[in-house]
Amino acid sequence: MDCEKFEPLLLDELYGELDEVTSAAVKRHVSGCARCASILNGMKSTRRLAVLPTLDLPDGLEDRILASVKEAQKVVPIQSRASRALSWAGSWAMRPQTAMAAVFLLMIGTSAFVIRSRHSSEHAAAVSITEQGVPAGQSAPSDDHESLDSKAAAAAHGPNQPAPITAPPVAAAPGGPVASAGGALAFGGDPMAGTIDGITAGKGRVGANAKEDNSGLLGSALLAADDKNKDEAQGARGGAGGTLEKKRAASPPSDISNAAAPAGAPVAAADRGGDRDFAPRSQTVAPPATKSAQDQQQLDGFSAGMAAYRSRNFAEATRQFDSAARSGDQNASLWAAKSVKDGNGGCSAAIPRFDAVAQRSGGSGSWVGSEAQLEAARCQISMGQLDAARDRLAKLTSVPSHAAPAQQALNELNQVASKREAERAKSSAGAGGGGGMARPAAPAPARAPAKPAATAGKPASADDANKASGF
Amino acid sequence: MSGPRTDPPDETLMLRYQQGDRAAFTVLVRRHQGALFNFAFRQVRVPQLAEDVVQETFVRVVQNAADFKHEARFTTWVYTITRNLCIDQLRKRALRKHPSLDQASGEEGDGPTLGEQTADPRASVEREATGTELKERIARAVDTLPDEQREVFLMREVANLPFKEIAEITNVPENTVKSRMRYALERLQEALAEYEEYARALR
Repeated sequence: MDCEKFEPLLLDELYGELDEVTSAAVKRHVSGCARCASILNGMKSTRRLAVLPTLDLPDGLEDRILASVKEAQKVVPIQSRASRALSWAGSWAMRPQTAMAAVFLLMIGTSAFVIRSRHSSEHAAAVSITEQGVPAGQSAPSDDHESLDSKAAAAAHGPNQPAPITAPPVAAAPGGPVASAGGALAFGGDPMAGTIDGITAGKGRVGANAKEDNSGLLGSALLAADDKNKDEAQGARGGAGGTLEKKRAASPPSDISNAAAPAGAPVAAADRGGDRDFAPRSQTVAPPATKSAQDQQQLDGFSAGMAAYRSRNFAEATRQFDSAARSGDQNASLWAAKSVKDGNGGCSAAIPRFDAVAQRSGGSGSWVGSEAQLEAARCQISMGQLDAARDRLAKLTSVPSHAAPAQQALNELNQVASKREAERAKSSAGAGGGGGMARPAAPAPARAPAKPAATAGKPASADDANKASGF
Repeated sequence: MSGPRTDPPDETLMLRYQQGDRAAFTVLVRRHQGALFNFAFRQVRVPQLAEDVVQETFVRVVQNAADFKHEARFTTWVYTITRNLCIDQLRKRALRKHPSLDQASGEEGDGPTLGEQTADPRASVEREATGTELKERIARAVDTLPDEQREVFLMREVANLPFKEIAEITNVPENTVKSRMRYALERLQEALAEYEEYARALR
């Protein structure tokens, strides 16, 4: 051992913390090294000398300690018992059996919930609203008829319904207010996927899904009016249900335009009704019979028009929509104009109609009016009347419900304009009407489902509603 | 005390206490209260505060008795508690800026250095009052050690804890503990040089 190794062992040697072998080595080194010996001996004598005087314990310290400890002990057993119980519970909670049992109970509980919710919906729904999305640009295929529940009060696709008379005009169309109320589920190309559960949204997804699976109609929007569930449904439904409810109760044609507006409708309905409309559900379900009949008739024309439109029989569609529009239904007028546009008349004939609809609907303030303006603008784009179209679209961009499509149309317009610019460089080209069919056709059917939403304002009789709940 | 050994280790006593033997705890109190009190007193420098610290230490031992593991050293645990309580006390005092408490221990601020403190008694060395005076000087020298050296010195000399345990309690490496101890001893050695010579001369 040398001095370097000795240094770190000095204190251990001083306090006897070295094992015998090391201690012996240290002693051997110290005996032969005066420097290290002096350090170690100096420390040893310091230790020997520097004995701290110890204070005597204060009288009764032990008693006081034991007394305060006794106090503390009174509390401790309870604590330890509690913590023991807690750890016991914890050890049980962490066992896999417990987890499995929990899952099992959850399954039972969930299935009970599903059964119960189906049950109540079957018995109760005053009105069930069925939606079915229609893929953009696709005319309704015949399966649509099959997938539609003819008893469904919704008659969302009334136009497709061969017997819409029995179908209450409570319709919630994809893209319509139900869509927005139901959480803006996407309307894809798949009609099934596109359907939306609007009202059951607030009622519990489990039940809704079960219905979807069974009926193939996702959009079974149930306004469960059974008295049992009335209150709870009322509470749970939230805005989504309320919107439709309101719409159902509101039948005047003027409501139709509001109802058709995806964004505006819920607000409008809420503004109109408030929550008071909820409670007397049975009353709202049964509106005046005369009105019902009138609406029924109106719907029939509209539905027939829509059916014709979907089967691309635009002449018939125009006729039906026109007849439906005779009662002042601007939405029918709008669709009549669309039918003209997509039919033989083309854009040149349709634009005056769109203008008329827009004018009657109060310009671009209402949804129908805005829609008419948008359609007219699209037509004008396809006809090459770019400046006029630009004017219309510029106004529309300030309308919340149509700002986005208007902007889109403006973009298209600009593309057309730039293309035209390029073409003009080569030869002066006339306004191409050829593309007019293709382009406006795309957006029109895409929004088409929104139109039947207008009929959401129509009342449904309780009988129809009960029939409708049969899926 | 009823065990086969007359001197059961602390950990055994603690285990017995955990199983409900309160007498075992009394043995622990008796065994450690003196060292704990002196350790605390050298830290907080006020007997009453030191007493409070010791009392509170044992209360905490009882409160957390269930958490004590047999593998752990009882002294490590107890001195960790005491040390923390002392630090709390010193911190409180620092916050209160209560100089009177410091003075109560007889410490006259930081004025005289160790050398000065130990220089003046030289005259009295011959007066045979060395015993008492030496004790006072040692106490003063220890008091004026830096905190981290003093606590190591106290744990080693008063509580007789091994360096390894001190390292655990103070949460620093063992080598750091040893070097702090060595610094402390060197300062004391320096301060007590005269007494050392005197003591050697006495022999």
